[in-house]
Parts: sequence; C-alpha cells; structure tokens
Amino acid sequence: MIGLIILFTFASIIVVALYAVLSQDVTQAVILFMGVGLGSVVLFLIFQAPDVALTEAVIGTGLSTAVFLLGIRHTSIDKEVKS
Amino acid sequence: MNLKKEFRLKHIVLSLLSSALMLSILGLLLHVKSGLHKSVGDIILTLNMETATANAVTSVVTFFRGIDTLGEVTVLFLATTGIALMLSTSQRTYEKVVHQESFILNIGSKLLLNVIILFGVYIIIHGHLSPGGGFQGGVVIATAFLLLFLANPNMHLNHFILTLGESLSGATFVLVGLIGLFKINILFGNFLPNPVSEIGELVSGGIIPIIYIIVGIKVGSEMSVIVEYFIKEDNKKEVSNA
Repeated sequence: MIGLIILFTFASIIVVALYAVLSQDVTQAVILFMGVGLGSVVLFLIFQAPDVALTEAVIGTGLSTAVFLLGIRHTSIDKEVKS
Repeated sequence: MNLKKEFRLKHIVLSLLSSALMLSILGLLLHVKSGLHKSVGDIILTLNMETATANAVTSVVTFFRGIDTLGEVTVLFLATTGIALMLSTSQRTYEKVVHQESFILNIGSKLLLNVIILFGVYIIIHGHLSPGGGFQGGVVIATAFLLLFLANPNMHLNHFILTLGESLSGATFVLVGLIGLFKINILFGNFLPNPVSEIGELVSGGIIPIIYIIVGIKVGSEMSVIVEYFIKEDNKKEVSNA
C-alpha cells in the first residue's frame, strides 16, 4: 500500500515537472514548480524526514514561489505580450 | 520552427532520463534491508543520547555540525546584504499606492497573521522536540509579513529594530560558540547542563534551544527585509507606470 502511494507520488511529480518544463506561460510554470515541491514534501514525509519536509514546504513551496511571482510581476513579461 | 521543436525534444529526453534516474534510486531505496549495515546514522543516534534532545536532527545541526550552521547563517546574511544593495534606493519615501486590495484579502490577512506568527514561534521554540527549528520558523514568520504586505502595500517595517535584532542575534550566535570553545574546548560545545533525564521537556538540551531562538530571530528579520524590498520595488514600478 505504502509502495503504491510512493509510486503514485513519483509519477505525479514527473508529470507535473514535465508540464512545468513544457508550458509556455511563465506564471503557469512557477505554479507547476510549486506542485513539484508539494509532491516532494509528501515523499520526504513517507521516507521519515519530517525536518526536510517542513523546510521544503516553507521555503520551496511558500517563499520561493512568492519571490518568483513577485519577480515575474516586476519584469511583467505577460503584460507586454498581451498589450 | 525546426529549432524550437528540436529544443523541446531535448527537454523531453532530459526529463525522461532524470525520471528514470529517480525511479532507479527509488528501487535501490526500497530494496535496502534495514539492520544489516551500521551506518553513520546509527553512530549519531547513539551519540545523540548524550546531548539529550528528543529531535536527533537538531543535535546534528547545532552541535555536531555547528560550524556548518554558522556558514549557512553567513550565506543568508550575505544574500540579504546583496539584495539590500541592489534594491534599496537613497530616498526612503515611496509614493502611496492608491489601488484598493480586495475585502477578503484584507480581513483574511488580519485573521491569519496572528496564527501564522504563533505557528512560527512554536516551530522555533519546539525545535529540539519536534521537526523544525530556527530556519523554518523564521521563514514562517517572514511569510506572515509577506501576507501583511500583500494586503496593505503602504505598510512600512521598522528597519532600526530589524537591523538591531539581526545583528545582536548574529553576534550572540558567535559568542555562544566561542564560550563553548573556551569552556569545554569544542566550538559550539554544549556547556550548559543537559541531563538525559529531562529529555522531551521544553527546557532541555543545554544551549540548543538558545541557538535555535537566536537563529529564528536572525532568519525571520532577514527574510522579512528581503520580502519588503521585493514588494516595495514592485510598488515603485506600478507608481511609475501610472
């Protein structure tokens, strides 16, 4: 059972990472990258590393996504393309 | 067009190769039988009984590898200094942002702010008992400030208090390490009494809770300053656009 959960999490991480690499929109790629971090949080928890899981949840999916999104809004690639 | 297609094909091949590598590592991990090999982890776990911390990772991070933690804190300090150099301007007064944030964000941020800060302080104080520690708790506190800035862009942090707390905690961190060096001849040595009978209690483990509280204050103030610089830079751009 636990092996099935691990395999499912690995597969979803790979799929989300592929989407993040292939997506044309920068914002979409950043959000998908956050999904990769979320999957790795589950894996760290299953492999009994709650310290690393907490760090990944806070820094990998929380603060770095916010900083990426702020950077994108500052450089405003999307706005220029749309207008 | 052809070049773009080739580029994407390369991406796909790279992703497939790396995923195959991850799956092979997973297979290795699942086939290792536990209890056959005595690893570094076992030695550290037996040594951990001396430091009397319930969370074994904590004693590695602050005690066995204390100098590594000092290096990490230094790297973070340098990163903050670089960002401040790049993004801060000579004039401190920013023009007020006129656009109103949404009602839900305003009320929700006020409700959530106290809970997030409380959670960060809990992670810092219970660092030697449960997962977490100074770094994680500090970043949680910084995300609370990020939420506050998103809801209210015209807010200002008191830089004097932040700088004071950051430098004082950094100096105290080095001082604690030096006291250990002079008292028991180990840098970041545990010179306070840490009886094994008190394992699992809030005040236990000697200097480890002190180091984590110091690191929490340092990381929290540095990350808050980084977040403020990023948001203020963004606001400046919006004002100049309008």
